[in-house]
Amino acid sequence: MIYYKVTLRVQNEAGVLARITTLLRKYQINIQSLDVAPIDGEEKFSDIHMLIQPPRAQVEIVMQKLQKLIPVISVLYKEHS
Amino acid sequence: MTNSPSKLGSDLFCEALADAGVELMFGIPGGVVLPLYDKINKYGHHIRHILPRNEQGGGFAADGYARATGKTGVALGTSGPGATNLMTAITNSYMDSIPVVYITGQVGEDFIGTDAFQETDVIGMSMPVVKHSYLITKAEDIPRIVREAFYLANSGRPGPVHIDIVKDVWFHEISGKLDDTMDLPGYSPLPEVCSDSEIEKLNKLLEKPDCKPVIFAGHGIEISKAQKELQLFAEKHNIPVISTLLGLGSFPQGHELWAGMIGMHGDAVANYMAQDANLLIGIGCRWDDRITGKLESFIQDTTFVHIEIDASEINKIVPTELPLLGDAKEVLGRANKILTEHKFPEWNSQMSELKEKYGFLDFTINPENDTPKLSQARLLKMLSDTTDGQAIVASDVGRHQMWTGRFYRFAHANSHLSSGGLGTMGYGMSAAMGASLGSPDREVWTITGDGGFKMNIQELGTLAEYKIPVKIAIMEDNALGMVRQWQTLLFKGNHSHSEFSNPDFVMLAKSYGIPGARAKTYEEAQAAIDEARNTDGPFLIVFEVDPDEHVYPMVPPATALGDQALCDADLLKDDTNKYNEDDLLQGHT
Ligand SMILES: Cc1ncc(C[n+]2csc(CCOP(=O)(O)OP(=O)(O)O)c2C)c(N)n1
Repeated sequence: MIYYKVTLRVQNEAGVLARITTLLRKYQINIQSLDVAPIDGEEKFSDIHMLIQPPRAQVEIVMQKLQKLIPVISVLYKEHS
Repeated sequence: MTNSPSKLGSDLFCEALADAGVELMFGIPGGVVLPLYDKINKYGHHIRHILPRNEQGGGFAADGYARATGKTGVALGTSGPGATNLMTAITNSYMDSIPVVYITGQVGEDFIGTDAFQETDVIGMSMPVVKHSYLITKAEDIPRIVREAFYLANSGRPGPVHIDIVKDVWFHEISGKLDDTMDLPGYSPLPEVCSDSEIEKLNKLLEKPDCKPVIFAGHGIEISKAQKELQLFAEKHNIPVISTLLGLGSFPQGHELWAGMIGMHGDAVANYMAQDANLLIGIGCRWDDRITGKLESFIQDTTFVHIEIDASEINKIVPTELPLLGDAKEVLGRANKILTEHKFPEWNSQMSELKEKYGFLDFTINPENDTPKLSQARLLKMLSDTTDGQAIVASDVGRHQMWTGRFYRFAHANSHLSSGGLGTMGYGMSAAMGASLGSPDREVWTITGDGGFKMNIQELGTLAEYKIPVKIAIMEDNALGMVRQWQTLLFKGNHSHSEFSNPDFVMLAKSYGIPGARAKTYEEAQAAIDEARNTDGPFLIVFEVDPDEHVYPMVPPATALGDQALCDADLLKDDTNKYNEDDLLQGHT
């Protein structure tokens, strides 16, 4: 099973994580690990790091859909072994 | 925006709606929004408020208004049941990319989390089916959030935005100027746009030997107002155009390049053309399973080009050789300047032959239409001819919806209102109501089944009260027709829970003060249509139609477009049956 390491920069507000996990749940993607922290000196934004296991065929679509969430500023992802 | 000293949240909210250009809204008051309702009439010169009979009807009306006008619809419900009644409408707008701002009241902040009376986590409920949502807890956020909501709803790929407002906000007192600067660092309506050199690659694809191209004209054409650019594009390269259900009206249906509507119940010609093509150019479409049929056959030996505003649609369903990201109008406009002309004489004559063979747009080809009772296909043709294709037609969901798409010749875009993605029964009449209020100069019809009509039958009251001149055509077959058809054809005629009795709809309409007529013959049908058109205000017609008239073509589940059934015999004859029974029953319905 391939893992993907995903880093999301998001607006730091209530409900952001819910929007993200609602989307991941729709695609039945399991989250292996999760870490959320505000970025230094920028209280408006946070970085979310997660390790997820999407089926390979869906990775790009899911990342595009994450990018579409309004409070998500950027999405970076790479394969993780 | 400027605010004179000391204003209440309720005033601020009305002002923000007016600033956003809202001219019409649908809503039902309740406890937590009463302070807003106390103010709303004060803003009546800006905003006309309509009271639907159920929030779902109000939501569909706002959605229909948005489809017919291109403007953003507004629907409101109170906390709890008012909000949950809106959920189907929100989902409907989401699936079809319709700009509507849905507003719900929420219990006071101190009560959130206490399971208070009519407290419901409606933001949680709508989360997967909105473009975005907001909970307003401070009046000072109103101007910014309302502005953002309307901007988000109707820019880029449109969609519903949900605003939930806690009750306290109406009473917050605000003095001085409020900042309504939008703060959307994560949003861009056009995230990526293709380059000219990418567009130029289309030349190469069109110049491949034996190229058989087809354009798939989706809903995005109407949304980006790209009708002219599409026609130019098709004519410049002589490419046949197939419309999706929501794409109808965006390409002239009398045009020699038009190949009809594609899909499970599309035109035979369109389905065969899509099957035979080896270059599909999708524009503002999302390759729904209802138009692809069996996906493996659909994509086999086919090159895909996808002109699309939403990057997350690329490669979602079909492997795309050439994605062209951007707004359809803009991309087609550039393509029309950059690309060289092309001709496909053999391919075009293949289309002409198909049209000849399958009696293109000719319902008489289907022997099932020679029914003892009225045929819906013929009635739709009659209505189309009588109104010269000029009307706005909102259909409900079921067989009549497919006949509406096939046999009403839409002369204009923003005229065919249909619940495509969600397939929501109960949509039609309410959508027509919103369309009529938004486009008072247009003739507006709703075509509805007797099943779907009853799902939001209460909106007859709204039509009557506001004298909204919607003409209602009920196709009465005493059945959930589409379901019954599937049971006849795929479940050996076991009509399980798909037949019912009806009240006398004409008498019912009368009790609302709405005149009506019943038609059993084509003469009566024509007379009723004429009477409806000559009557001011709403009018209801019951057409007694045949439950055994089946809608064809039918691409059965798990079947390729090219293997569409064209008549009962294709599906029912045991010896020649080309379909796999397990596939039919277990395939995605
Ligand atoms: C709200 C809702 N419930 C159930 C369905 C499933 N369904 C699809 S078509 C159909 C039958 C519709 O019957 P009717 O409104 O009489 O229209 P007809 O097919 O007869 O034209 C049903 C039950 C649906 N699409 N929407």
